[in-house]
Amino acid sequence: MQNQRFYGRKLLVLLLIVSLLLTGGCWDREELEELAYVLAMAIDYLPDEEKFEVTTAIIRPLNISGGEQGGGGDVEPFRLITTKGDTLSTALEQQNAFVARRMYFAHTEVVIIGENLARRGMHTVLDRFVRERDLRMSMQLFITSEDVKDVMRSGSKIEEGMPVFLTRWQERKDGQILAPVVDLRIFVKNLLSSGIDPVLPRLSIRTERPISPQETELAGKDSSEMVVYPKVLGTAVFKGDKLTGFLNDYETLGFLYVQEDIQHATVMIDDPLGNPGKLVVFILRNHAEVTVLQKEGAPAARIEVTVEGELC
Amino acid sequence: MKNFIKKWIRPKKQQISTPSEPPHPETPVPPSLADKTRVMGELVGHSNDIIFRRFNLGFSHTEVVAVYAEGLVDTTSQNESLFKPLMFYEKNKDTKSVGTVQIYESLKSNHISIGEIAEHDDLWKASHSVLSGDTVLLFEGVNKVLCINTRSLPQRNIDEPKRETIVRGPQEGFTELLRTNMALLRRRLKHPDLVFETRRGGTYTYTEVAIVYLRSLVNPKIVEEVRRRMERIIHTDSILESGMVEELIEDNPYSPFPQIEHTERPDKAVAQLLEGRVIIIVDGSPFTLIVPTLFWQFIQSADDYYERIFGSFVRVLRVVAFHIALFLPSLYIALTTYHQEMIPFSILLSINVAREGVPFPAFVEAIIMEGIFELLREAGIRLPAQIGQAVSIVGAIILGQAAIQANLVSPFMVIVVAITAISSFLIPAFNFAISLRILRFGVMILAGTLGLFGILVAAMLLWTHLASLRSFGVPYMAPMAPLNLRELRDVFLRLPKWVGDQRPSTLRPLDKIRQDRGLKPQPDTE
Amino acid sequence: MTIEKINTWQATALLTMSIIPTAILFPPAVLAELAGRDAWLAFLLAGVLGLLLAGFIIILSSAYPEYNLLQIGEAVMGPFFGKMITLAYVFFFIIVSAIVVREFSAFMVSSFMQFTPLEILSGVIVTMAMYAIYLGLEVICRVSEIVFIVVMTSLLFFVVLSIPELDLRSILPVVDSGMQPVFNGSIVFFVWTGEIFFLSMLYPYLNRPAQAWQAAVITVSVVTIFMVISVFITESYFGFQLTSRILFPLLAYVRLIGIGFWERIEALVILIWVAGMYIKISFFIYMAVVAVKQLFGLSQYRPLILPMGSLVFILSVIMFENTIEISVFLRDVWPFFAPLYALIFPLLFYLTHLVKSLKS
Repeated sequence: MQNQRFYGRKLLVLLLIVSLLLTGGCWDREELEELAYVLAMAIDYLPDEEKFEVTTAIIRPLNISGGEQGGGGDVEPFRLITTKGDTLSTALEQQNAFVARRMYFAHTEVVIIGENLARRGMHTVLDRFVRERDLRMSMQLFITSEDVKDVMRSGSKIEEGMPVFLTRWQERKDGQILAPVVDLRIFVKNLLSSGIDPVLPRLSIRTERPISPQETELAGKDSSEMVVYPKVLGTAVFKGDKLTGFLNDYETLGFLYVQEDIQHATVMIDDPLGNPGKLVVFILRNHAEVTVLQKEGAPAARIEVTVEGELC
Repeated sequence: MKNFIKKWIRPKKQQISTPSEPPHPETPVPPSLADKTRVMGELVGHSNDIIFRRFNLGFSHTEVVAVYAEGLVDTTSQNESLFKPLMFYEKNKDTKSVGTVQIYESLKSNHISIGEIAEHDDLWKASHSVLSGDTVLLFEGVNKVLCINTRSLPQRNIDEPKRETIVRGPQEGFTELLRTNMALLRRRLKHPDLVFETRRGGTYTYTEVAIVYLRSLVNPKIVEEVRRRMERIIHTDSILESGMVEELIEDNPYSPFPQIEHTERPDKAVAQLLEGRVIIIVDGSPFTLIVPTLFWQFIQSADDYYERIFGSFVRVLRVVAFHIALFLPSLYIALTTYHQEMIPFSILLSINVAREGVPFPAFVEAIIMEGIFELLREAGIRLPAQIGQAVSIVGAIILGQAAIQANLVSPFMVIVVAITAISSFLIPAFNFAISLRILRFGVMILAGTLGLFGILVAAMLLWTHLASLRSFGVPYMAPMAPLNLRELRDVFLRLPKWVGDQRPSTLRPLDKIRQDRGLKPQPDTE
Repeated sequence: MTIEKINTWQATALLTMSIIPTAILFPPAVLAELAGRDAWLAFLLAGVLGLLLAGFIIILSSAYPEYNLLQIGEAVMGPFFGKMITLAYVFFFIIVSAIVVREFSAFMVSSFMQFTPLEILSGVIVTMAMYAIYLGLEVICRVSEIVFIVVMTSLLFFVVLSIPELDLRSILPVVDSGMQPVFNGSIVFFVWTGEIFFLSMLYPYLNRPAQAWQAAVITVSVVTIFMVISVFITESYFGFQLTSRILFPLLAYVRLIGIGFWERIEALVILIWVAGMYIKISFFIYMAVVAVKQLFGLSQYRPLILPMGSLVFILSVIMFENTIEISVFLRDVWPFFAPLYALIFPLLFYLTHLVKSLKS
């Protein structure tokens, strides 16, 4: 029948379209397990070799989530890979020699920048960061003066390693009076806006003997082995995209006051009534007002900080 | 080629004449009783269940033949009200010398104590009324036959609606018998404007179909359109269910979306009549059709309006469930295989661990699991209730568990399938849920090939298709497209009774005002 | 076939959705380049020009309420010149459809699906558009209603999110370098606000032609206000130098923000944008099809859909070599080409109409 042939043809066209979609399709498709998730990245510049050095921490999913089942064992939840290259991109390209899956940066939460690189200028890495489609803008940036490889390796016995330590560090709400919390978005924004220069938290390590027996056990059979702890303290200050220096913890506190960035933290102040001794105050809110004025021809700033808190 | 295009553009219009029942041969009533009996016997095919009862009128020699179908008649009332008065008939003195015609008239008006009688001058029609349970009386020398309603059709009791259970509200449902259903409607709507228009369809089944509407409310154009489309049912051989009528009168037979809603509930039917819709009742089916139907009707349930206004929550829930049922598996595919950056990292890791060792890509996995689920569901429906439940539950648990343990599918996929299934159960209308199930696979294919973009393509195509649909001249997606913000409120929320002052304007009812304004309960001012 | 009718609100939604989706792609960067800090002023000026054009178009259309623009042309200019101009419009609509399709797929490839071939994306969207056109103008309008609401809500949402970042200093001082750059910029954006002349293609279908001006004013105002705000946002965020150097500044902005813990929402934004693009492409190809129907005096436009769709698809693939070329084309060529159809021809029609009516 004419009618049925007509529908047959329609059906055929439909079938062709569907099969076309199926055969040629899936260009951007990637299965989850085909990816190697980079949780943290450490980048530095080696002035002697004039090369970039990149260390990535690639997560081993089975060891992270399987931890409760005891599947983790002695295997660390991360795999650290270090490569070198003339640019950041070529260094990253080198990593593929060691990884069977595609390096996936969309969930990279932490980037540690070495001091050498920061002093040389951040534009070389920022350019790559901003262009990279995968990278997320909420990545935490840290500056360290130590060897970035050592920093990456530290802390494996306390949290689930340095990257997790840093991720948790920026997520927590209280006690952040020791270093500013800056992610890529804020950094780039401050870099771009005129009149504001960016800052970053400073990351360092401390080597010490394990204190508690638990940690000793974790550290290994040899209880005399030293444990490396990460430590976030102080502020790295930039002019433009170049690192110019660091603020210590006291200066950082002052800086954070001005930035109105202090919350859920305790500070110690003199007793306003003049009694001997100090008062410890838990800060709830703070407000700062900056007025620029001229003092004997030179520009100066007047900063007024109002803090609301409760005694503790 | 030209024909092809023409056909594409303009579906061939069928020219149908406008009778309200199937055509039949003209069979005039022959004068002699013997001929009448013979013709009648031929018309009913000398079937053994048709009884020809010969008897004499009173104590005279006037012979009468009663024809009726065994089992379809109520023998008590037939004996009491028909045979008894006729057999004990006594001619009055003044009618001693009159002919049979006068006797016939006097019988009709004075002696047969049954309410519904009809005269036919066509034996074919008479034979059909015999087949419907009437008793037909054949007289010598009269060119008419008398059909007396002695029907006692086999029927089941008025029962709770099986497919549309509600928590609160009337618990009686339509039955298979047209007259009962009409009575159920009339009982709820005691208003002279309620009109039943009956007609017959199906050359073999000769099924009675009633078009019901409220004369003062409904837009006459809609009734006219319904009448015009109902002509189609005459020319088919059988109408066994209202679903067959639905297929013959719907607007777009290729659309995956049902364009005519059906209900088992008289209260719901009355509510729809009061909004200016038309109900079609088909004899032999407890499911009555509601036209015109809009898209959003399918996610509404009758008891939305019986509970207090907080039923709105359930309605919002259904809208959400509708989208979950349609898009969730595709979303899972798109996110896990195209847009991993959008999944929070901790969830991503869990999925990754779960999927480690699963041999299929997420897309294939999803298709397999959804397919298995459809198998299980279908298996559960057709089996007797006791076994069915056991089979589907046990099948799902064992199959699901075993598949995960065998590392064939990931637990996440099972969760996704389960959520999808539950969501699709939230849709009150079964026929609508079927279309969702089919469309879900289409969306999954697009999501598997183009990711989120594919889902959007599917959504836009569906939306375009829905916007183009019409049900009896009314835009299917109204009041969303074309947009009517005031009436859109009632789609997602269930407005309090005291707010709905007007009937939905999309159906263009003759009487727009539903109730007086200001019925909202006010606190006592005293 | 019954004549399709659309209401004022549907016309507004359709026209807005046929301007905004591409307006948010290249213009912010191009105008930031041409007009610098005063880009917002250039947008505003283009909006005013668009309003003037809209007023003129409505005057022209209300003189011939039964006719669309091309029919007016043929009625006024006589059969020969009328057909020639219709032919020109046919080419215009085909080319503009192809450009829009290419803009769509170029954007998708560069920001969303890097490895998917351009041809697939173009093919998919053109096929979808063909389906919509097959179902008719009324259906396109009905779809655009919802798309309008979804797109505008999401855009509004992002505008609200950006309020704390807005910085008035980024657009000060006003008119620092004279009005010339502003004019240059507004000429470029007049291509978009000038698209209000499509109203004359819808005019015969309006159920209340007296309200046509509402549709026009709302459309142009919404587009202009939105563009002014968006260029304000991007210049506050990036400064005008950087804005002019980013290919799609608004996308860059969207990437920078997140809703609480949920980041990477730009994919959703892109999807909503695609919905708008679908309306735009459908409407453009629809007009191309109607123009061809008009040219050959056919009674049905549906047989033309498939060939027209194929043509637009092929043209969209071969017209440009790469994405930058589109940007350059839109900056250097298109502003001097599009007004011919948006402004000059309608003006010509109207003048001829005036002369004729004076004679008689």
